[in-house]
Amino acid sequence: MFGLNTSLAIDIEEPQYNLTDYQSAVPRWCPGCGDNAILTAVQRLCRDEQLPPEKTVFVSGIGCSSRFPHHMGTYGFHGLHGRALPIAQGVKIRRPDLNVFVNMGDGDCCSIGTAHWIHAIRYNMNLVVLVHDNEIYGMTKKQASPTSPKGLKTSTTPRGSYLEPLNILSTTLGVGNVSFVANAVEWIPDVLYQIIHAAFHHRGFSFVRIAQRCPHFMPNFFDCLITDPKKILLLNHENGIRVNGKLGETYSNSMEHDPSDINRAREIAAVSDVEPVGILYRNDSRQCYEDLRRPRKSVSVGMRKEAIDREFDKFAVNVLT
Amino acid sequence: MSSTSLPSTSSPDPEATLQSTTGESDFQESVDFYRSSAVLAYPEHDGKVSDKAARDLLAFFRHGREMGKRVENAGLLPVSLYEYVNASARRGPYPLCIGEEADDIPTPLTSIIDRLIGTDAQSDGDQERVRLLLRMDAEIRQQFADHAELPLSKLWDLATEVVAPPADDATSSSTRQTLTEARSRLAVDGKLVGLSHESLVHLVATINGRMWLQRFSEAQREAENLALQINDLLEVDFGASEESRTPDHLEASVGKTFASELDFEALSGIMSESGRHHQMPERRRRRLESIREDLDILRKELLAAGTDRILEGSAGLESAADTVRQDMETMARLSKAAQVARLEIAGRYREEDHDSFFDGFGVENLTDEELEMCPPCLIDAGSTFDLSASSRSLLMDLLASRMPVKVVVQVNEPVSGSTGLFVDGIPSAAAQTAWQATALGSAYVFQSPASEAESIGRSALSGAEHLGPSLWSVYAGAESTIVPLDDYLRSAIALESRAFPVFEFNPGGRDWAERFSVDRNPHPEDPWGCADLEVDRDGELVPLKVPFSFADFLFCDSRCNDLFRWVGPEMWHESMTPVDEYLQSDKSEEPALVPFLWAADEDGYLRRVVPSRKVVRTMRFALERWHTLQELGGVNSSLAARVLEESRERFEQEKQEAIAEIESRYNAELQKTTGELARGIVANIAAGLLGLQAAGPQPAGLSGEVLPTSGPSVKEPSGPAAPAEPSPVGESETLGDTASEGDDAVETISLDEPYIETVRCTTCNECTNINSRLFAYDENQQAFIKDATAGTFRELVMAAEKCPVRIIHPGKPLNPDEPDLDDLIERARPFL
Ligand SMILES: Cc1ncc(C[n+]2csc(CCOP(=O)(O)OP(=O)(O)O)c2C)c(N)n1
Ligand code: SF4
Ligand code: SF4
Ligand SMILES: [Mg+2]
Repeated sequence: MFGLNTSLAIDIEEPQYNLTDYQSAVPRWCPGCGDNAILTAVQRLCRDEQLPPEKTVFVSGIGCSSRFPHHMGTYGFHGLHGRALPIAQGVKIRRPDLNVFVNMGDGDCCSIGTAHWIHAIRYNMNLVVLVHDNEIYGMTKKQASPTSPKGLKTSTTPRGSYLEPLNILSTTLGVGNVSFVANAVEWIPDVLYQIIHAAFHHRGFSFVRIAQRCPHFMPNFFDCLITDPKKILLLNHENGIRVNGKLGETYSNSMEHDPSDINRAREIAAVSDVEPVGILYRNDSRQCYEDLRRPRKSVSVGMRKEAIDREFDKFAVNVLT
Repeated sequence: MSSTSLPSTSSPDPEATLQSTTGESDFQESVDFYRSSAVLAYPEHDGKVSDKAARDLLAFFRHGREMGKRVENAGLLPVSLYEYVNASARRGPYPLCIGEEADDIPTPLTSIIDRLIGTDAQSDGDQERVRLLLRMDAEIRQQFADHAELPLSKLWDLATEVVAPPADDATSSSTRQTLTEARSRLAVDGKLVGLSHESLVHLVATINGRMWLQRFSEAQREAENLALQINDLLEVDFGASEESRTPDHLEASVGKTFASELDFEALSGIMSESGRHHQMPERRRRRLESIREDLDILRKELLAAGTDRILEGSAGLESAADTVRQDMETMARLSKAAQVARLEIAGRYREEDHDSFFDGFGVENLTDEELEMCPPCLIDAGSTFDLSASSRSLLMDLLASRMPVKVVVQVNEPVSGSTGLFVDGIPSAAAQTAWQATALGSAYVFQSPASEAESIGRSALSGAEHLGPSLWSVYAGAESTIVPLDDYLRSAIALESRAFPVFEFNPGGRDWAERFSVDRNPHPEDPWGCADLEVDRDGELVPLKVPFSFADFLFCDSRCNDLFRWVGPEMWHESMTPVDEYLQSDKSEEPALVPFLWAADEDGYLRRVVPSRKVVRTMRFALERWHTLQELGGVNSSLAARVLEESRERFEQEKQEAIAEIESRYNAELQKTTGELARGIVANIAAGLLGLQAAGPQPAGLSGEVLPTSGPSVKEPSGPAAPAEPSPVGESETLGDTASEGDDAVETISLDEPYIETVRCTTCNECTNINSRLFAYDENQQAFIKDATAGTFRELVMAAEKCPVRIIHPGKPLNPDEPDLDDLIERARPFL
């Protein structure tokens, strides 16, 4: 419409962002914490996609992982425990032009935030959702989380946890309207990057569960996976990720998996002897909630006030008459 | 008369309609309403006509010598108008419903009702419904006369109350149900307009405004949204201002209910101390405030201009160009505001670059699309006869431009100036405005008598769609008529007689055939309209086919009384010829023939009216003009006829040549084939005799030649598909390796030197925390050995042990004197 030629009107040098433009306060995670790897992968994505920092928002709940927005040189919203998703949805519906990312811990997403998690999958809004799954509450000093393995001794389960862990991937794949599910491990940064890249480019609710080390409370917890690359099952596909070269040689246990096959995806999510890494499922044809319900008009604070007043007036009794 | 132009006659009284239709089974009859009960008749006469009559008639016709009876006050009218003038009411195309939506086609009430009636009424129930709808038709017209401002659906409701007042009985409720159902199927809704110049201007203005609004709507919505977003920025900025933290403001924003429980002074103090309060620079704030205002005000200015502005008369024509220029400037300012707003919202406004660019932003910078969004400039120029010569030439200049001027003019006299001279029937320039405008080529042009409601409605849409200038030239009917014709008939006769035909020129057409059309005239292929009448002769109805010629049109004009005389049957000499036949050239060669037109007196008795020669001459001119229009409109085109004739001849000739060629070729083939056949047979016989096997179907001449690679391919036994271009094995392997490695070029790593598998680094900070000169991060924030000499072997080994992904390889110690080397080498062993 107006000035279709705006951007061409004058040649303005587009700003070039590099990695440091996305860095903020020095991370306060413990040395060796897997959150660092996730941070780097995400910063790389921002740089490679040249996301304008002022058009990018990271929303989180509470936990070690939820400190994420502090370390990004973008906008951020460090929310309440378990409430990252509704906040992110609010941001997105009002400002669909922004790139909205969500960072949650396993406790944040799958314990206190479960209801929001399930419904957010169903709403399928265009968000990149990263679950930093260290299988423990890191921030509250090693309390059991829904994903902690059975028998794990924690400060809340001193005799070992009693229940089988919740399978995040299976649960997500079970919700109607699911549109993107991937599994990553932060210690293979290249693959992590590829997966987050694909999640960013998927239009819809891109859910990425990331196995994340908490060396402080769970030293050597993921070692069996780290030291034995055969335990990693790479899911290759032209519509998913593709790992070749030296990395492919190191992680030679791989299979072709077509991410459009939800039944196969569910089978893969359920395996326990290996860690599947890649894109389990994607469906690009699901409609986003913000497209269904995008407000046609922007509404100013004043207009909102007026509307509320109008509604109240309907019920108000005028004391003067 | 052809049903396309003159309306069907009807009874105005719905009850009468009901009565007269009762017992009638002819469905179509009831739809058309009843024609007038007045019957035409031949006057009684013994049939004797003297030769003197013939001489008198000829003397009048040729030399204007007095004879017959003068037509003043004789109450005569062209015979085909008789039933229309004497009908107690008619169902004309007006009122016309303008509709409400942008793509609604203005539709006559008659058509709307006819569509509801449909054409398939069979049963008695159907006929009952038809009568009901016709009563609604009549009643809606009645209601429209009193409530011209109401939309059709509201008039329908008022009419329903009259036609089917609520009552408790079953008939009434079923009647109301029928009407409710019909109402839901109304083809269009919206205001109705009648036949008048003002209505016409209103129609054109409404449709132009509506179409423009559609073009403008997206921009207008965007302007609104941008203004709101700029408003958001300003509101956020205000939130950071000191004013927003004053106790008074805080109190006002909390409201009264809790005001007593809060200490706003204290709150204000806390808020002032806490947080960062960055406000935008003053200059930026002013800019935002000004574009917020521009986005709002300019948008509204354009809206008002596009939907609520009509310039009038000569003054309107004079100010039109300036008005359009102002609209463009407003559009340019709005576009500028929108562009600045977009940049501001995206945070990309750079004063050093943009200030100077936008300072110089003007109409020249508008895109084509934005220019198309400039509002139309509606001009009601009034009567072309009232315009001075200079105003008329100004009008032509406007129509020759590319400006969105939309002009409606009224034509009072189709053939001459207001002096009423019909000397040779040459139309004045004022009457020819549309014709002149067509020659300009850039404007949409429509000419029509006012009676053509449906065509005018459609043309309003087409003219509004055209982005450049448009002209509607409408003939509303001359005032002088010998008979009391109403507005509708006065303009309808101009159409039938071709005195003022309908034509449309739409510059948007791809070729002339698409651009110019006369199709909306009744029977565009004929010289003029024609009526099939029935006339009582001695008690028996006999058919009479009468044209409505240009002479009939003139006959209706009292200013032409002197040009006609009428005669009764005692003078109906056999030398008299109907004027249309007379005009056919060979008859008018005969000196003794006298042309006449049929007229009827007030009682329906037929009269013959003799025109003077002047009239006939005028008719010829009019007919020529009509023929020109016809030809331009592709009807009876002489050029086409010529081309057709030429191509028919050429085709015939080519056909003959082709036949000749085929024949000769056939003969040659035949000779050749018989020769070959004979040779083949001889050869076969010879081969058979020699006991030789025939070599398959392959022609002998091809054996031994290398065949091109067509035909089915030969299957390879197995294995991978052969490469398109074979290459030496070694080379292809090299290629394959490189491809599978991707970008990870094979590096030669000496096991003696320390190294890190950088791609696998998780950025965990362990190694960099040990020694940041030895270990550093690359541009991807992944660790590498920056300077092996900047640290100790011990640090390398410690890092290797701490590294969670075990990707640090310490290599061999560089400094043989480092303490505890043996132990360290042992510890480094797992990381080799
Ligand atoms: C409503 C609420 N309940 C409980 C807490 C305490 N709390 C803080 S962080 C946390 C769990 C964090 O675990 P997780 O989400 O897995 O994040 P991690 O620290 O492991 O990254 C809990 C229970 C809180 N902050 N708010
Ligand atoms: S406690 Fe665990 S999860 Fe939290 S920062 Fe430390 S290592 Fe990371
Ligand atoms: S210790 Fe290993 S994973 Fe951590 S930063 Fe160094 S090389 Fe990377
Ligand atoms: Mg956790």
